[in-house]
Amino acid sequence: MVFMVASTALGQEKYSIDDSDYTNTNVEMADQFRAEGKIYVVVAVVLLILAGMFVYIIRTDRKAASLEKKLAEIKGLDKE
Amino acid sequence: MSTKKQKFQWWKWTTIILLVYTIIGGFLFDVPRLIILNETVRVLHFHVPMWFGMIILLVYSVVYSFRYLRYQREIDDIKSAAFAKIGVWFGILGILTGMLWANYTWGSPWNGDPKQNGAAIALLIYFAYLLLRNALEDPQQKARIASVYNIFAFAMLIPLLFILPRLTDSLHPGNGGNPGFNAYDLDSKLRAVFYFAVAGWTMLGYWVAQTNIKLEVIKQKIEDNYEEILKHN
Amino acid sequence: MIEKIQSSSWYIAFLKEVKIEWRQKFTVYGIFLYMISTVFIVYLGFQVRQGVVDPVLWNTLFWIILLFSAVNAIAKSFLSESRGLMLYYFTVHSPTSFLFAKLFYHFLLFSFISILGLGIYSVILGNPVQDPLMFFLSIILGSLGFTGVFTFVSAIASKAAQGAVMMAVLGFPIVIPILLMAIKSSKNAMDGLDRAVTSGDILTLGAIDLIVWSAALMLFPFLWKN
Repeated sequence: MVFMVASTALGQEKYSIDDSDYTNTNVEMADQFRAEGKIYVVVAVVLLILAGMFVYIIRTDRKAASLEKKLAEIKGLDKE
Repeated sequence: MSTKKQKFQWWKWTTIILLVYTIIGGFLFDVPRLIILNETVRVLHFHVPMWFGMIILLVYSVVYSFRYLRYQREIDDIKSAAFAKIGVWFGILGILTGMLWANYTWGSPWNGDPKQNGAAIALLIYFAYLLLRNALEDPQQKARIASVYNIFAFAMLIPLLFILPRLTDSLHPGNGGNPGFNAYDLDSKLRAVFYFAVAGWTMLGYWVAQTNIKLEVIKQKIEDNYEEILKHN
Repeated sequence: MIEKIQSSSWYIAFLKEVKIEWRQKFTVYGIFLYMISTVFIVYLGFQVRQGVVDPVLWNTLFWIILLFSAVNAIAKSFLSESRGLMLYYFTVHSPTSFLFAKLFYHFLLFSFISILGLGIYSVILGNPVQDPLMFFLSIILGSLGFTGVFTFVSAIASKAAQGAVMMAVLGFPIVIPILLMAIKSSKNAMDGLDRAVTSGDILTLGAIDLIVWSAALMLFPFLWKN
């Protein structure tokens, strides 16, 4: 955020994007790759990894919560 | 000590949805066809949020350092350290992804770009902060001195981020006639993913920090009540 | 006015600092000698004849030498302070006036060292500076910033083991903005640029110094407890 503020405050020249940047054909992109639909394979793979990461972090969260509960029980028992 | 099962907070769902959207949108949506950048323009949704995330998480860390000095509560120091750690992780990922990308678009991994240098200095500062934490023994002293350093260093980081771009022009896309974008100049199609990507990645960092804070608090409690726990077993 | 200063708490602390330092003059001589040896090593290392070294390199090297002298000169401000003496200070002074006295003393000391260092440096490696007044000003402002950062960092590092290493690790990343601005403004002065161009950088440097000093003075009371 600060980076952005700093660089805009100093007003460096900017290249602005217009519609012609979407339609030109002289800049090479991965068009063939997309046309064959293989990009969906990439997206699926990345999503699967992301899902795996989320499952992991949620499980860690739960584990921490159960530890918290256990500790609270121990302290509760002592008070009795 | 509520027996109710802990609720899965709404903001965690939001994080998941935002990141899934980032990946689908980031890979599949139309992007401008620009020279030099080509398909790597999509890196915008993955690399740049690391910087935004780093700065936001470090701001959290400084805020909790202030709170520690004001209220002297241990929890604030734990939070401050956790946010600094995840901020540093984001910074490392940002630097590595940036170097990888720069190698293919600017020709070499390190180009003396002011944003790159600024990020490297920010990392040096926070490595020093973490080293300082390790070098101090007494927990209260550690918390207080680390908080003081955190605030002092952050006070110097801000002028630095303003000075560096003045000393040399940025090579980053969108600056100095480079084809590309800037948050304020982004066209609407990139923006439709980028802002959500920043929010999503930052919230992921926040989530990880929260989990670490929870674990750290448990660790502290175990250390404080070690005798009782042994008795219980 | 003068009486008011003389009776103020920081002035008393400052006088005490001067007296203590005067009793250990050798530490100050040591810093001078450090500076001279570094300059001479640079000279021998480059194997340059007088005036041959590239001006940009000349300027940068000068600041690097100043930086390392500053670390060593100012590190002692808290690192070598004995625990008993610190305890005594706690009872006598308020934290802010104590730190201000330290800062002020080290600022005077270090600007004197750096001016003298400039003299030695110019004699051995030549002096391409075209606007001496502005160069002088950037040295003073640079010293002001170095003093602020390193005095405060030495107060932090003195609490940790391995103080000398911590001093460099903690201090270098935060001194970078000051170093960069000082190099930039002194390079402008060296090239004899128009004062109007240089003054912007000088002002920025001054503003950073102000941030450092006020942050240090505001945060020091928290280091002080214990």
